[in-house]
Amino acid sequence: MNMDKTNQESERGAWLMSLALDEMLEPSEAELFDALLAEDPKLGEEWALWQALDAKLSKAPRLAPSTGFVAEFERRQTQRERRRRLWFGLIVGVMAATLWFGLLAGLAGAGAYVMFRQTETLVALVHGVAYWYSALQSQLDIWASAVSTLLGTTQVRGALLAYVAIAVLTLTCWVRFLRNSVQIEPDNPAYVRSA
Amino acid sequence: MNDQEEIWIQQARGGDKRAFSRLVEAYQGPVFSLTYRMLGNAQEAEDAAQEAFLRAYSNLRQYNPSHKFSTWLFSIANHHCIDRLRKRRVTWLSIEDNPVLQNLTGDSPQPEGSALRREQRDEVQRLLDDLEPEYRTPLILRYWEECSYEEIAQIMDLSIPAVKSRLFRARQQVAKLYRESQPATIPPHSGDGKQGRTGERATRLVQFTAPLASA
Repeated sequence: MNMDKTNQESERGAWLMSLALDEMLEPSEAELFDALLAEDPKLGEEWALWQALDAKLSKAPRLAPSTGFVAEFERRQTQRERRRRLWFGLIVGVMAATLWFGLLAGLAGAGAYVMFRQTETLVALVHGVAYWYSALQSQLDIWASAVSTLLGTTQVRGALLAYVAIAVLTLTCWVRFLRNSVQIEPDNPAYVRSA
Repeated sequence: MNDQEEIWIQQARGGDKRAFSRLVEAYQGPVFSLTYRMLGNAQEAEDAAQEAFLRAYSNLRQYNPSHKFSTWLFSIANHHCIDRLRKRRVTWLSIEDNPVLQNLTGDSPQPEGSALRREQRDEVQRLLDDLEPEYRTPLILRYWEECSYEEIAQIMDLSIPAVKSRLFRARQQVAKLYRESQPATIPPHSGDGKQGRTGERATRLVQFTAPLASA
């Protein structure tokens, strides 16, 4: 039990020594440390050793890297960025190639399927396209004929001109209104006059 | 961190590589010092320091400007060194091959001074090499980077009581290793003469003669 007490005291003394080296002792701790130093000569010897080692460590010289450290860093930085761009390019290239060939293969497969398995559907599709094209064509012809007949009358021509004139006038007034609403005051360029 | 460094950091975050190079120039010494003390090998330390700066550059957007840049940088370097130590295989280098001998900062040495400084530095490094990494880091940050407890806590992601505990254990281990490595029981020469405790110097000057380090 005495041994445990002695060990505890020496641990406590060592703990206080560490704080003392860093000048981090509280006043009460400083008093306790002084008391322990006075009581225990072994602690005093240990303290001398710790102080000497502290001085030795403090005096050990600082070290510097070799000359050209910064240049070497810049070289590695450039190399790393180049490698990153290369990897990025490779990944994008592989993805693009995969998509491209996948699309080609898909189209070829779909075309082959349609050509060799779905001939009837293809024929019906062609017929449908042809039908709708000719239907659209004839509808357009009917509209063109109707318009040209109407434009032959004076009243329709007059109404159309009036409509165009009113539309132009309305647009002009609207543009002017918008322009005036965002006009800048000549005296104070920072001021924008609201409508 | 001074205003100029803040400007460089802002510029670097905007993609300005030259601004980051200036930061590398400013912090190459402290970061290399940390990595060398952690790894004990100059080439590996330089490689680790380079890697730390590259990681810092890649993750610059994650840097919180409310903390010191050096603290953040040391944190990256420390974690990287610990990863390396875990993966490491032991390689042995002779002291004469060590290129760091060319690069000691401070006074230009006379031959005897240079040999003594080299011996002292090698002795210190031998002591550090035998420490566990979790105890080595706070010691290095305290003695060579002059970090406060708060800064060490931020770098190592610990609480302040944990930092105190780690420093205490580190010093205990260093004292134990030093005693085991010395044939005499006499403590080393403390240089300035020290007495008592906090802020005072011990009056006992004990002359210590260390055996010369073998080649």
